[in-house]
Amino acid sequence: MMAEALASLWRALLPALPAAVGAALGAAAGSVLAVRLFKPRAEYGRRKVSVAADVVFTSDGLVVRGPSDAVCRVPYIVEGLNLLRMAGLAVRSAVLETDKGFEVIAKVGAVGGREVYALLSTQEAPTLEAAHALAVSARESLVESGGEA
Amino acid sequence: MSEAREMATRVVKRSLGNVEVCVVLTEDGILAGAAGHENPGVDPEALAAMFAVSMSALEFGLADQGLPRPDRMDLKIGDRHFVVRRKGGHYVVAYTKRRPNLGLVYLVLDSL
Repeated sequence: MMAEALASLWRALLPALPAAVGAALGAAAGSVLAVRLFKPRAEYGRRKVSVAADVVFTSDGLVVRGPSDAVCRVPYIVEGLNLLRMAGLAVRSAVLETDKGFEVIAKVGAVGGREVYALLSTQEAPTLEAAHALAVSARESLVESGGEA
Repeated sequence: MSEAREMATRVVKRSLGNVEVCVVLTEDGILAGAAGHENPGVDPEALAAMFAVSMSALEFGLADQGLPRPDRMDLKIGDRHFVVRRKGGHYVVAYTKRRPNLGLVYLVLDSL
Protein backbone atom coordinates (compact mmCIF):
# COMPACT_ATOMS: atom_id res chain seq x y z
CA MET A 1 0.00 0.00 0.00
CA MET A 2 2.77 2.38 1.03
CA ALA A 3 4.77 1.54 -2.11
CA GLU A 4 1.76 2.13 -4.35
CA ALA A 5 1.01 5.47 -2.68
CA LEU A 6 4.62 6.57 -3.16
CA ALA A 7 4.61 5.46 -6.79
CA SER A 8 1.44 7.42 -7.56
CA LEU A 9 2.81 10.49 -5.74
CA TRP A 10 6.01 10.26 -7.77
CA ARG A 11 4.12 9.97 -11.06
CA ALA A 12 1.97 12.97 -10.11
CA LEU A 13 5.11 15.04 -9.42
CA LEU A 14 6.96 13.93 -12.53
CA PRO A 15 5.49 16.41 -15.08
CA ALA A 16 6.49 19.37 -12.89
CA LEU A 17 10.07 18.17 -12.41
CA PRO A 18 11.82 19.35 -15.62
CA ALA A 19 10.66 22.95 -15.05
CA ALA A 20 11.70 22.88 -11.38
CA VAL A 21 15.10 21.37 -12.16
CA GLY A 22 15.65 23.89 -14.99
CA ALA A 23 14.84 26.81 -12.67
CA ALA A 24 17.22 25.49 -10.01
CA LEU A 25 20.03 25.07 -12.52
CA GLY A 26 19.44 28.53 -13.98
CA ALA A 27 19.78 30.05 -10.53
CA ALA A 28 23.01 28.20 -9.83
CA ALA A 29 26.08 30.39 -9.61
CA GLY A 30 28.00 27.92 -11.76
CA SER A 31 26.22 28.96 -14.93
CA VAL A 32 27.29 32.57 -14.42
CA LEU A 33 30.84 31.65 -13.51
CA ALA A 34 31.55 29.32 -16.39
CA VAL A 35 33.96 31.90 -17.79
CA ARG A 36 37.58 31.94 -16.75
CA LEU A 37 38.26 34.89 -14.45
CA PHE A 38 42.04 34.98 -14.91
CA LYS A 39 44.35 34.78 -17.87
CA PRO A 40 46.99 32.03 -17.37
CA ARG A 41 49.81 34.53 -17.70
CA ALA A 42 49.31 38.24 -17.90
CA GLU A 43 50.59 41.52 -16.58
CA TYR A 44 48.75 42.59 -13.46
CA GLY A 45 49.81 45.79 -11.72
CA ARG A 46 52.98 46.11 -13.81
CA ARG A 47 54.01 42.58 -12.86
CA LYS A 48 53.76 39.45 -14.96
CA VAL A 49 51.89 36.79 -12.99
CA SER A 50 51.54 33.13 -13.95
CA VAL A 51 48.39 31.65 -12.51
CA ALA A 52 49.07 27.99 -11.72
CA ALA A 53 45.72 27.09 -10.16
CA ASP A 54 42.56 29.07 -10.40
CA VAL A 55 39.75 28.43 -7.93
CA VAL A 56 36.45 30.24 -7.69
CA PHE A 57 34.41 29.75 -4.52
CA THR A 58 31.47 31.26 -2.68
CA SER A 59 31.14 32.59 0.87
CA ASP A 60 29.26 29.42 1.86
CA GLY A 61 32.37 27.35 1.20
CA LEU A 62 31.33 25.79 -2.10
CA VAL A 63 33.79 25.47 -4.97
CA VAL A 64 32.33 26.76 -8.24
CA ARG A 65 35.37 25.88 -10.27
CA GLY A 66 38.81 24.50 -9.48
CA PRO A 67 40.85 21.32 -9.08
CA SER A 68 39.35 18.46 -7.08
CA ASP A 69 41.53 19.06 -4.01
CA ALA A 70 40.08 22.58 -3.70
CA VAL A 71 36.99 21.21 -1.90
CA CYS A 72 39.26 20.15 0.97
CA ARG A 73 40.94 23.59 1.28
CA VAL A 74 38.27 26.14 0.45
CA PRO A 75 35.95 25.49 3.47
CA TYR A 76 38.84 26.24 5.85
CA ILE A 77 39.78 29.38 3.91
CA VAL A 78 36.15 30.50 4.25
CA GLU A 79 36.32 29.83 8.01
CA GLY A 80 39.45 32.00 8.09
CA LEU A 81 37.69 34.79 6.20
CA ASN A 82 34.72 34.50 8.60
CA LEU A 83 37.03 34.78 11.62
CA LEU A 84 38.69 37.87 10.12
CA ARG A 85 35.23 39.36 9.52
CA MET A 86 34.41 38.75 13.21
CA ALA A 87 37.57 40.72 14.00
CA GLY A 88 36.21 43.59 11.91
CA LEU A 89 38.35 42.84 8.84
CA ALA A 90 36.25 42.29 5.73
CA VAL A 91 38.86 40.92 3.32
CA ARG A 92 38.73 42.21 -0.25
CA SER A 93 42.12 40.87 -1.28
CA ALA A 94 44.99 39.14 0.48
CA VAL A 95 48.37 37.72 -0.46
CA LEU A 96 49.57 34.69 1.49
CA GLU A 97 53.08 33.30 1.36
CA THR A 98 52.94 29.54 1.93
CA ASP A 99 55.45 26.70 1.85
CA LYS A 100 54.40 26.01 -1.78
CA GLY A 101 54.46 29.52 -3.16
CA PHE A 102 51.98 32.37 -3.02
CA GLU A 103 48.21 32.46 -2.85
CA VAL A 104 46.10 35.45 -3.73
CA ILE A 105 42.56 35.63 -2.36
CA ALA A 106 40.35 38.23 -4.01
CA LYS A 107 36.71 39.05 -3.45
CA VAL A 108 35.36 39.38 -6.96
CA GLY A 109 31.65 40.05 -6.49
CA ALA A 110 28.37 38.39 -5.70
CA VAL A 111 26.01 35.95 -7.38
CA GLY A 112 22.59 35.04 -6.00
CA GLY A 113 23.19 36.80 -2.66
CA ARG A 114 26.46 34.95 -2.04
CA GLU A 115 29.87 36.56 -2.16
CA VAL A 116 32.24 35.15 -4.75
CA TYR A 117 35.98 34.86 -4.16
CA ALA A 118 38.83 33.78 -6.36
CA LEU A 119 41.91 31.99 -5.11
CA LEU A 120 44.94 31.60 -7.30
CA SER A 121 48.35 30.11 -6.81
CA THR A 122 51.47 31.61 -8.26
CA GLN A 123 55.19 31.08 -7.82
CA GLU A 124 56.07 34.76 -8.29
CA ALA A 125 55.65 36.98 -5.25
CA PRO A 126 52.77 39.25 -6.26
CA THR A 127 52.80 42.77 -4.88
CA LEU A 128 49.63 44.04 -3.21
CA GLU A 129 49.23 46.18 -6.29
CA ALA A 130 49.29 43.04 -8.48
CA ALA A 131 46.77 41.33 -6.16
CA HIS A 132 44.50 44.37 -6.43
CA ALA A 133 44.84 44.36 -10.23
CA LEU A 134 43.98 40.63 -10.29
CA ALA A 135 40.87 41.31 -8.20
CA VAL A 136 39.77 44.18 -10.45
CA SER A 137 40.33 42.06 -13.58
CA ALA A 138 38.35 39.17 -12.08
CA ARG A 139 35.51 41.51 -11.05
CA GLU A 140 35.27 42.83 -14.60
CA SER A 141 35.11 39.25 -15.97
CA LEU A 142 32.40 38.41 -13.42
CA VAL A 143 30.28 41.43 -14.40
CA GLU A 144 30.68 40.57 -18.09
CA SER A 145 29.35 37.10 -17.31
CA GLY A 146 26.29 38.38 -15.45
CA GLY A 147 27.39 38.63 -11.81
CA GLU A 148 27.54 41.71 -9.56
CA ALA A 149 30.91 43.18 -8.62
CA MET B 1 29.61 5.78 23.80
CA SER B 2 28.03 3.96 20.82
CA GLU B 3 29.67 4.18 17.39
CA ALA B 4 26.73 6.15 15.98
CA ARG B 5 26.76 8.60 18.89
CA GLU B 6 30.51 9.00 18.42
CA MET B 7 29.99 9.70 14.70
CA ALA B 8 27.37 12.37 15.49
CA THR B 9 29.67 14.00 18.06
CA ARG B 10 32.54 13.97 15.55
CA VAL B 11 30.40 15.75 12.94
CA VAL B 12 29.41 18.49 15.40
CA LYS B 13 33.01 18.98 16.59
CA ARG B 14 34.70 18.92 13.18
CA SER B 15 32.17 21.31 11.65
CA LEU B 16 33.56 24.12 13.84
CA GLY B 17 30.10 25.28 14.89
CA ASN B 18 28.50 24.96 11.46
CA VAL B 19 26.47 21.87 12.44
CA GLU B 20 24.32 22.45 15.52
CA VAL B 21 22.62 19.07 15.67
CA CYS B 22 23.60 15.73 14.15
CA VAL B 23 21.40 12.66 14.13
CA VAL B 24 22.43 9.19 12.93
CA LEU B 25 19.64 6.81 12.00
CA THR B 26 19.35 3.38 10.47
CA GLU B 27 17.74 3.06 7.04
CA ASP B 28 14.56 1.81 8.68
CA GLY B 29 14.27 4.93 10.81
CA ILE B 30 15.67 3.81 14.16
CA LEU B 31 17.61 6.55 15.99
CA ALA B 32 21.16 5.26 16.48
CA GLY B 33 22.86 8.33 17.97
CA ALA B 34 22.65 12.08 18.26
CA ALA B 35 24.73 15.06 19.32
CA GLY B 36 23.92 18.71 19.92
CA HIS B 37 20.22 17.89 20.38
CA GLU B 38 20.20 19.54 23.80
CA ASN B 39 19.12 22.67 21.88
CA PRO B 40 15.48 23.48 22.56
CA GLY B 41 13.00 22.59 19.85
CA VAL B 42 14.98 19.70 18.37
CA ASP B 43 13.71 16.17 18.89
CA PRO B 44 16.15 13.60 17.46
CA GLU B 45 13.48 10.88 17.42
CA ALA B 46 11.22 13.09 15.30
CA LEU B 47 14.06 14.00 12.95
CA ALA B 48 14.96 10.32 12.54
CA ALA B 49 11.38 9.38 11.69
CA MET B 50 10.94 12.35 9.33
CA PHE B 51 14.11 11.72 7.34
CA ALA B 52 13.66 7.94 7.19
CA VAL B 53 10.29 8.49 5.48
CA SER B 54 11.64 11.27 3.19
CA MET B 55 14.69 9.34 2.08
CA SER B 56 12.77 6.13 1.45
CA ALA B 57 10.20 8.04 -0.64
CA LEU B 58 12.97 9.72 -2.62
CA GLU B 59 14.86 6.46 -3.15
CA PHE B 60 11.69 4.71 -4.25
CA GLY B 61 10.90 7.45 -6.78
CA LEU B 62 14.42 7.50 -8.16
CA ALA B 63 14.54 3.71 -8.43
CA ASP B 64 11.24 3.86 -10.32
CA GLN B 65 13.03 6.05 -12.89
CA GLY B 66 16.01 3.71 -13.05
CA LEU B 67 18.20 6.16 -11.12
CA PRO B 68 20.62 5.17 -8.32
CA ARG B 69 20.16 5.94 -4.63
CA PRO B 70 21.14 9.48 -3.68
CA ASP B 71 24.39 9.92 -1.74
CA ARG B 72 23.48 13.29 -0.30
CA MET B 73 20.40 15.46 0.09
CA ASP B 74 20.44 19.16 1.01
CA LEU B 75 17.22 20.71 2.26
CA LYS B 76 17.33 24.48 2.72
CA ILE B 77 14.94 26.02 5.23
CA GLY B 78 15.39 29.77 5.48
CA ASP B 79 19.06 30.37 6.27
CA ARG B 80 19.58 26.85 7.66
CA HIS B 81 20.11 23.50 5.97
CA PHE B 82 19.38 19.88 6.70
CA VAL B 83 22.10 17.89 4.96
CA VAL B 84 21.57 14.13 4.79
CA ARG B 85 24.44 11.79 3.88
CA ARG B 86 24.17 8.06 3.40
CA LYS B 87 26.94 6.19 5.19
CA GLY B 88 26.92 2.40 5.10
CA GLY B 89 23.55 1.28 6.40
CA HIS B 90 22.93 4.62 8.13
CA TYR B 91 21.81 8.12 7.31
CA VAL B 92 23.65 11.00 8.95
CA VAL B 93 21.48 14.13 9.25
CA ALA B 94 23.20 17.46 9.97
CA TYR B 95 21.15 20.50 11.00
CA THR B 96 23.23 23.61 10.37
CA LYS B 97 23.49 27.04 11.94
CA ARG B 98 22.17 30.05 9.98
CA ARG B 99 24.17 30.79 6.80
CA PRO B 100 26.60 27.88 7.30
CA ASN B 101 29.91 27.15 5.65
CA LEU B 102 28.23 24.52 3.53
CA GLY B 103 31.49 23.38 1.94
CA LEU B 104 32.80 22.45 5.38
CA VAL B 105 29.57 20.62 6.29
CA TYR B 106 29.80 18.57 3.07
CA LEU B 107 33.50 17.90 3.65
CA VAL B 108 32.94 16.69 7.22
CA LEU B 109 30.07 14.42 6.19
CA ASP B 110 32.03 13.05 3.20
CA SER B 111 35.05 12.25 5.36
CA LEU B 112 33.14 10.07 7.85
